[in-house]
Amino acid sequence: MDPRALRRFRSNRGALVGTGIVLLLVLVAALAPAVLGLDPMTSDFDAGQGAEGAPVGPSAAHWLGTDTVYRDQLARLVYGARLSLVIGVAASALSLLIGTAAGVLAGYWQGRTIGPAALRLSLDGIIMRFVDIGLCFPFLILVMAIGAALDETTVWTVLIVLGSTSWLGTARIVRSQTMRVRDLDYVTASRALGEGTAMVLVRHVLPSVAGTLIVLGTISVAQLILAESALSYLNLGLAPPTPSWGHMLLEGQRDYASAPWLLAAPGGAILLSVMGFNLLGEGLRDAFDPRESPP
Amino acid sequence: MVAKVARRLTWAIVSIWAVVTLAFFLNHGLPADPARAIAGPQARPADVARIRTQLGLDRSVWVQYRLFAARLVHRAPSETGVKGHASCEPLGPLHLDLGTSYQRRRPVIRVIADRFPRTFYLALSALVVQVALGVAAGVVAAARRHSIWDRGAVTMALLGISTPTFLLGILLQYVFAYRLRWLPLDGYGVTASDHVASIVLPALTLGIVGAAYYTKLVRSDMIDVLRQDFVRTARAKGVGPIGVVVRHALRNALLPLVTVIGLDFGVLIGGAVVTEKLFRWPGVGQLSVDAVFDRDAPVVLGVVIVTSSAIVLANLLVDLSYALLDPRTKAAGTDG
Amino acid sequence: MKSLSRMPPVARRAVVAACRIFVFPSVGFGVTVLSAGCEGIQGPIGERRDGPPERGGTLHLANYGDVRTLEPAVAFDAVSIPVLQLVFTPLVDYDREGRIVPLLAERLDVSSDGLRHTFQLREGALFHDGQELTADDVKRSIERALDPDTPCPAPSFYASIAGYAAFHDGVKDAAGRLAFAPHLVGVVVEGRYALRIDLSEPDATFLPALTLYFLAPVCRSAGSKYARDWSNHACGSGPFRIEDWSASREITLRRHDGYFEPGLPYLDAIRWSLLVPPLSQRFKFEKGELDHLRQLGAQDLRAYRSDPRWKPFGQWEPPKLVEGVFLNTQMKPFDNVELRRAFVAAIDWKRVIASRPDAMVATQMLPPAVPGHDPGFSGQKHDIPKALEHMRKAGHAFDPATGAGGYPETVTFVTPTDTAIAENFAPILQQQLARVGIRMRIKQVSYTAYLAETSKRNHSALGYCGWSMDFPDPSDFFEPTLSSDAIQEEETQNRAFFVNAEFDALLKRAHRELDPAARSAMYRRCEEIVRDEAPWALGFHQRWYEIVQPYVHNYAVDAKHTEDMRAVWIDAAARGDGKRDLLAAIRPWGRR
Repeated sequence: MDPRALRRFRSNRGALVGTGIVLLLVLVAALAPAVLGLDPMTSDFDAGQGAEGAPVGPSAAHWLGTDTVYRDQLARLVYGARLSLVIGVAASALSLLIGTAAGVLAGYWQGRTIGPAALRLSLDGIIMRFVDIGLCFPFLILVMAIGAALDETTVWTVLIVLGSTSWLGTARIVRSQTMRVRDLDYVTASRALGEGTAMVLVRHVLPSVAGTLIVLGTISVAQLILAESALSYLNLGLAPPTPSWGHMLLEGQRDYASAPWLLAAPGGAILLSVMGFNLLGEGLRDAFDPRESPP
Repeated sequence: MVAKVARRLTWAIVSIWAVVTLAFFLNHGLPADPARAIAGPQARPADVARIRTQLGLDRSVWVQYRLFAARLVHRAPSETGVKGHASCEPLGPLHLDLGTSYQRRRPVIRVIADRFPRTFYLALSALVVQVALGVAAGVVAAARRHSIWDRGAVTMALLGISTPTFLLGILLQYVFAYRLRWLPLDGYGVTASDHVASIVLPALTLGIVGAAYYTKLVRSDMIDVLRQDFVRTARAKGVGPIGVVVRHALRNALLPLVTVIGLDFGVLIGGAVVTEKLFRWPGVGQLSVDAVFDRDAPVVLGVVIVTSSAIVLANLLVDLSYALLDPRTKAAGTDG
Repeated sequence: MKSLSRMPPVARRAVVAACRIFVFPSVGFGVTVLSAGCEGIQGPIGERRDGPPERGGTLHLANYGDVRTLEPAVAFDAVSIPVLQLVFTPLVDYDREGRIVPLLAERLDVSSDGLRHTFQLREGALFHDGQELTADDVKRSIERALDPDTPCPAPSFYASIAGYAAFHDGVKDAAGRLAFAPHLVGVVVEGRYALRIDLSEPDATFLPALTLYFLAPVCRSAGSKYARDWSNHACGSGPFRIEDWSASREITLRRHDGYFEPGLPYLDAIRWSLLVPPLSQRFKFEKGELDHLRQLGAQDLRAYRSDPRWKPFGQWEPPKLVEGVFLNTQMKPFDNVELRRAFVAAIDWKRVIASRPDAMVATQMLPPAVPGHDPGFSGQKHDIPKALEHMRKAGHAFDPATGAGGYPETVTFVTPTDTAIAENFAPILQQQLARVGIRMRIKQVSYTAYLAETSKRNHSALGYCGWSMDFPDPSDFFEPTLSSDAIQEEETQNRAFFVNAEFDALLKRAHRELDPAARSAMYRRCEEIVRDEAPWALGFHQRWYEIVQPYVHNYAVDAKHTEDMRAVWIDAAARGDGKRDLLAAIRPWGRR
């Protein structure tokens, strides 16, 4: 990483806070289950059940209380962190992959047509028209419709559905970046020198969009964590009893008459994680390209 | 100019057609049996089979698409009372037909049209809240750089984009509707005063979260504008800070703001799904969630078509107004 | 808007003070408001006084669901039926003791061989549009409902009527085309007020099925053929007529002055609000905007049941559903009866349903509301050692201490999403089965997908199953769910694909057996077979706790009727203005 960028990053307080949160999240998700010996799936009928079948609040046996089926809330929170992280990062990677491929292809071949002059088909045109149409669909409804079509929701299906519907914005940004890079002198020069298209793409275009990609990727992790939790809230995400923050909020809302503490933990967790990734992403953006944001 | 408008219009129509087709085939992939859904779980199998034939679900997908597309927009029949137009909605000389809802047994267009005004009401209210809060916060933040207001606004904006809408909604509902009972829990209400009381929480939910984006946008735009020469000139001439902000800076920052508002409105129409579900707001968003779970394919299809068309139209309007407001600017998009 | 540092010290202190005045109380307020713990429920409004019934008043009800149709020939869901009950009158009905008595008919005679049913209708019974109801109308309505083009979901209930096959299913003629008889020959009009229905074979379920609303008489405006939008103007002969139906919002019913029972109904009108969630219903009930509460969240239910002020005004509806887990007897691993027995013995249903106070453990297929239910019957038992024993016999011995053994593959439990079974019960089932070595995965799907998947042969090994009473007769519970006749390749209701010769024979005989004692004995034997062969793991019954305000009189719950408001009356004086100002009670600073 460019040392100046690193310096800028280090001096940005928001970016450091974001990094801290993300690291904390990763640590908790990775280590807490083993360290704390938590079990998110077992109902505790002794210490976890209150009068007449109601769940218990924060207590010695259950630090964050129990949910309506008497499972430890803290355990579910931590396991939910794992899930959110995995889905967020993986779906973001997928979305980045597709979006970059589409954007680079469109941007690099922008202006060039194939086929007879009468048709004027261009790869750029086709891809970008597709992106335009795709952007017309309301995201959540689209995800819902696809998700509901796949009756069985596993981590994979959620991942793929989210990743394959959120690359459109990335494609646009990558495309404009590619166009900018393509017309730079040294790139034209290497093309003139006979470098193959693939080499040009890999050696020149990709590295220069790398910074943008990292920023986009980080911010898209934040957005995908939000999207996944919205899906689970609508009951279209991972099937229970797998713990998922959005679903915990749905359960919490159903029962906030008897157990309002069920809302606080998952809500705070989502908020914190998304904020962390957003801060990190913005910090990275400020570090890579200070011109893009006000000082 | 006219050519440009014509091109945009044509593209909008093509977009809507592409959206419709894509949505139809996507929807056809929903693997479920609406005939069983209508007959109910207690019905005997022979009766379900009969209902399936009645609905025309035993034909091939291409035939169904052809029938669907032909019915979607067609000319009104010359005489009234012609059979087969039960689910049509007249629009001048044309009929629009999105089929009949499996579960509700009413024309899809009527079902959506009944609910669309309420989503519109919500989107508008949310937009008002968003813009008011966002612009105010952005202006204050830009005018008072590096002050506590600026930092506060930036933090609130960060919180806004990091909060899931349903979390904020649940909290607002818990505090104001459940504990304090100042506002209705959910729903739309029956009387006019009910409607006004019921919109508060959903609009605030959508508005506070959305205001974050506006805050950031307005703040950065205003900062750019405030740095420019003509503003310095005005300050030097003795124009007070508020005058500068309102008369000069804001006006210049207006154009991108209008663009965003226009696009945002289209997105709000489609995207308030979670808020509508949370507050049981009887709008198009809640309809879509219910229809997806009901496997009510015509309604899902209808909602996707209507909301996508709304977004296409919003884009179109924004493009046109952009071109009108600032003819020097190339229309944003993919002309290259 | 000056920044703080530039203000004079006095002003700065003022600002800080202002912050203190507002911020800390706000935080404190927030903490109080958000503090955990349920708040108390409001007490009853008015009081219950004895006295003769009064005429007048409007009853306010609400439902979480939506009424999709009021067409009696088609409606088959729990939200529409209570409304239909008030708008249409079938020929016969159940009385409070559970006996079938004539309702629209004045007299009913059944021949000794059970094939001929003669109905003498009342004279002067009027439809809501003022026309008199005659035997012709009854025949027209029956044929309209059973017409092959009508999307009636359950015409097969009436398949024993003579001529049903020719009328409903049609007969293939020489050219291979289906020809339908123009009329049902089994339904004969014998006079202006006399009707006769002939059956082609004895059918003990015929009269119970006749108490449903499919064949209820409809006004002449409905014609003799079903038309989809007639539902919006539904018109019958019941105690109330539909005054207004605002789709998905509310239904208003008004007294039908031409109702044939003198003096009834007492109420002027009934207003039903639709799509009101349970919590909102409770709030409205507390404010006096609702007079009856039935759909309660678990916590609210606990609160009302334990509150002594509400004891006299609440009652449990007799359970009419049975729910449990089906085990597909034709798919691995549950084709092995020992494994099924192990499954059944591993489940402690009391624990499974602990989180829902509105569920009760089931000992047998028939819920308490259905005649034939035997409270003393000893059903499937929770017994871990026995379960392990069955596992051993099945060839999959499991050692709980080490976790070794058990059934090697994970079985998939299919359940509809967003239900108590999916959210509250399935996770606990999963845990309990793990203790005997059966590993279960929960698959949540939409309701229609659940119906489709579990009704296909060789598709689902196990899943949620349940049956809700259509009419209170044991045949309604056993035949569609466990008889081999009900098995199809797709769309079957016999989700366990259970085939048992003795069971089938018993059901066939009981269907035609007219002697109640003999029937009882046959169905008791059926229960024993279900218990021992374990195609279903039984399970639980869901039931509803209903509460009314003290000024609502005569609301009774019984086995057959749900939300039966026909004879309800309101004591207007005791109600007062009905509303109550709750603001004083809930201001946070006035609270305990």
